[in-house]
Amino acid sequence: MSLTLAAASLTRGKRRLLDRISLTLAQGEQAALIGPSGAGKSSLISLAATLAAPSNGYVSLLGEDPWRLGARARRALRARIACVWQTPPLPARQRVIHAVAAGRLGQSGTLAALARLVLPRDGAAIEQTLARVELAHKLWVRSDTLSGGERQRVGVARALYQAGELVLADEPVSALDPYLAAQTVRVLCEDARARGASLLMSLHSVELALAHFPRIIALRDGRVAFDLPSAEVDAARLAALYEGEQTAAAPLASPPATLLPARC
Amino acid sequence: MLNPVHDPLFARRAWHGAGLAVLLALCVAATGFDPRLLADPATLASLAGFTAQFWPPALGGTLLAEVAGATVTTLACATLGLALAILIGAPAAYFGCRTLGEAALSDTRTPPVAAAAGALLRGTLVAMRAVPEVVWALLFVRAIGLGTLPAVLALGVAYGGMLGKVYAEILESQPPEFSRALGAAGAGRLVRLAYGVLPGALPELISYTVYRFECAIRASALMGLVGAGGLGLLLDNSLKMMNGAETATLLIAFLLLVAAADATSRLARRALATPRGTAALALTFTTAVLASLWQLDALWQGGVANLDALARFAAEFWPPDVSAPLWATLAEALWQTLAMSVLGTLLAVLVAVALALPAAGELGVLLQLAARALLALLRGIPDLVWAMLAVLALGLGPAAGVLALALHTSGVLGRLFAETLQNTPPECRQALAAAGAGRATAFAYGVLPQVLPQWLAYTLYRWENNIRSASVLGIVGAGGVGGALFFALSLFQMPTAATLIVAMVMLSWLAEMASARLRAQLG
Amino acid sequence: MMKARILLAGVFASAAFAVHADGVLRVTAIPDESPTELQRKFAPLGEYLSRELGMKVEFVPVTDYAAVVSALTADQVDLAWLGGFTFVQANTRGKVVPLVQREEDTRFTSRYIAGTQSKINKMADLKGKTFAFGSVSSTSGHLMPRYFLQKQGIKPETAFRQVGYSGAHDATVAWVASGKVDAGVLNASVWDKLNEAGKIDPAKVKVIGSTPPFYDYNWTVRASLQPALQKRIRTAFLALDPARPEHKAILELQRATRFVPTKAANYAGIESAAREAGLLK
Repeated sequence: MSLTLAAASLTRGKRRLLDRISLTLAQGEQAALIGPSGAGKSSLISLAATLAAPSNGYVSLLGEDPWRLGARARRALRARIACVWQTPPLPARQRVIHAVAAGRLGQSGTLAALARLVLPRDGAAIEQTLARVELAHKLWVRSDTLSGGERQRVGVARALYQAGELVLADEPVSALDPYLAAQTVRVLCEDARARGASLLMSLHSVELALAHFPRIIALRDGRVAFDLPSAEVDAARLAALYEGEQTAAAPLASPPATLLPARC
Repeated sequence: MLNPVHDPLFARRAWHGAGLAVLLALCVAATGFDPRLLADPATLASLAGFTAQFWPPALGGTLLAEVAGATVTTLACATLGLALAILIGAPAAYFGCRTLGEAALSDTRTPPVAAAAGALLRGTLVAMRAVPEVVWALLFVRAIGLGTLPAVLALGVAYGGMLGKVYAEILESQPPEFSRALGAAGAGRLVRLAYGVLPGALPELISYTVYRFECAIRASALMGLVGAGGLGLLLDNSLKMMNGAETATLLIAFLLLVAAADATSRLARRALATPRGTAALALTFTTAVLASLWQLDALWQGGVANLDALARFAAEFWPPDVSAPLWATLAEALWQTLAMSVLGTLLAVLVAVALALPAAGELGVLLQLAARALLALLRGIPDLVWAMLAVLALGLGPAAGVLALALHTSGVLGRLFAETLQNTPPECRQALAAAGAGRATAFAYGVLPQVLPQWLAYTLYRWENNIRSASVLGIVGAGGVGGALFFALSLFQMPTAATLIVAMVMLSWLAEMASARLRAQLG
Repeated sequence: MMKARILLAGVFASAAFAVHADGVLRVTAIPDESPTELQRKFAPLGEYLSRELGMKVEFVPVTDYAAVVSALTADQVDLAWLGGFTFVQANTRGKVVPLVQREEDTRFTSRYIAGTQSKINKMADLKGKTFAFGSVSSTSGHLMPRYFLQKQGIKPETAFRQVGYSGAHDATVAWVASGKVDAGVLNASVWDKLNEAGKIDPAKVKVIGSTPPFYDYNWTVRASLQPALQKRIRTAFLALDPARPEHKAILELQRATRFVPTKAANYAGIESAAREAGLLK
């Protein structure tokens, strides 16, 4: 199994974000995660990405329990899991080549990785990866000159470059226009299929989910509302799932830049 | 597969790197700073001999009484110096503030006489604050001679220049509508200030004044190094006589004073939040001023300057010495000052980065506390005092100045760097960690690009500051143009001193411009 | 009110404020030794003067040579113990009257010293070493040694690796003993005193040379002091008799056998040396 959650819960303070979730994702399987805002999609992804440990229950990734591993082994496990984030975590002044190269930090030595900041390597491969999200011409550009959609696609390129056995994506196309969104989801799906990797992607757009994924997992209020082949998802279920939904905009993090010229 | 690729920025970076290396080599050559000296057994032995006396600190009754007295004197000087600075700065800001003028009311051009007067006022303020406090103190000690009055005047003049500028900026930053509306209704300048501008500006004005008070206390404690009374005088004596136990006591007293100033400043800022607190603050300050006058009054009896002497003294500076032998001395001294500031700042950056990581909590709570304490100690002791200690370790000369600047600046930058780290959003690094990156690589790829511009900006600001510091360290024998100035003033060679002061101010002005340009390029 | 008074007084007050309370003689001294030592040295002399003159005597400690010159020429103090060079400075900057000097001051010398670890045994070894003078304004700690060094062709700024100013004679010894500098120079009188008091570790510091004799210290008053009082002060100093035990103690603290009258002309040599050394322009 690529991913197994067994009665996994996640709480933050008094809030229960995920409530005894159980599901599995087989090797090579692809599934979309849908549900209204606040249903727990991002929480589930972060649980699967080992950014959070379950408060209760059990998580297994690529056959291992990350929280029973030592730090070194957990790092090795993490290197095999690629993630795409809704707000791409790209430092403003970092150039795209480094932002993409950062996908393989788990696979190279520390010194080699630091040296690459000074003398970039593997430019051809990174450029090819960027070409898959139509950004080949941005290789040497600074991240803060990119549009929101371009940044999101650089985030996708980083995950492609990492080539994980398990690919997790949290609303990876929220900032893209419909054409590019479909294109990008297709690239992620084809890449995973070609390498036999598993893919779990949360999507705001039900249409994209139904169009590209054979399996739909729906969350509501931190629980699995349904987990069905996409052919069996009908309008009634979706209406029930999204009842009372209000769209919330995702905040974009921007680093603070304050200067205190102090002279004493 | 993993071949190096052609980086379009590579050539530029290589040039920058090479330029920096050459600059570094030049600075090392100019200052004679050799880090190996610090590990030299003879150096270590002499340093150990001195610092071994630090424990236990001298706690004799007479010394403690002297320290207490000097602390009171230091506080009194700071209070009166600030009061004088307000008396100078507030009117200067009132007359210098552009948005209060008649011209700003009707968007007409300022009449030439008023414009010239404004330019003259601003120029005077620039000159007042461009000369470091310690140099002012040195000048007033020569002009007036005895006691604490030179310290008060020095603080008053230097800080008067700063307050005048900053007050005017604060007034000008207020929305002009109220003032204009009042002006349209026929209100005069003072009324426009009182009803249109002051209500909005007051909190900021007071807050900045409180900050200056904190600085004044630190500066006042140093005035004694040039003979102007207070704690610095005792410290100067103890260090000169190499009395380690007394030095330790005085350093502790100094650190306590700085900590108290810090706490007072924080308390005062909190008091500003309420009208009652503000009133209490005003009352406290007035009381402090009166108490300080009462305290220092006795010291000034008969030791008061007269206008004639001051004027005669000022006249001696004209015309400045422009003879050939001085130019050679000057060029060397200025280059040495510049080299000290550059090398000291660069070394400080290395130490600051090394300490900022633990201080930001990167390496656990225990190391965080230790790093914070170390940073507080490093920045709590002023560079001038570090210089006196560094002279012991490295001997006289610019190398000691480099070490002193590096030590103090690493404390300042370390804290700022750590704050930047703590204010950096963690997402980038977390994402890299989730992809299996190690701590070092996640830091280098996820955090460093975010903090680097800010760190560089801080470093440049601090370098500007260090140019000014480097130009006074010579007073205690640590190289740079200050030594020549001290020499000239001791021998009453005022024309030479005039040239040196002008050169000093020009250097710091050029550094400010260079730094501003570099910072603009960073943006 | 008070604030206005003092701040105005401080900056703008006229000579009226510089006149001192009657019956107080304000005395100061160049800080050629540590302040505690200066106070200790002056205490019995102050009591003696107070008795002889019938007025209160107040000692004003100063940490800076030049400040003493400023204070005396600005009429802020009445009587000051000056070095030869500081006297010349005061004499060229204002109106002052030299009264008396120690007999020893008519043929004063300075000692060149070196740290035992510095491998300096004679004056010629000084080249390329670090060297400390006392105060910049000191006669025996800076001016005359510099003058004689330059006569021997040793220009301090180029011959020594680094030149420093310790500020005071005893500080110079402390600097050399600690290894902060390789060598230095100080006045012979202070050297002898420290030696007698056992404050010098012969394992650490040694004498490597001496200067020829020159005129040094004196007691000087501001010229505006009432002539009668000037005369009484001079008489009081001259009356100090080594044969009388109570006077002997005072003289010993001053390291004087007795006081002799002096005049400005005695210091013409110092003045020309200062001009030649480039310290007076």
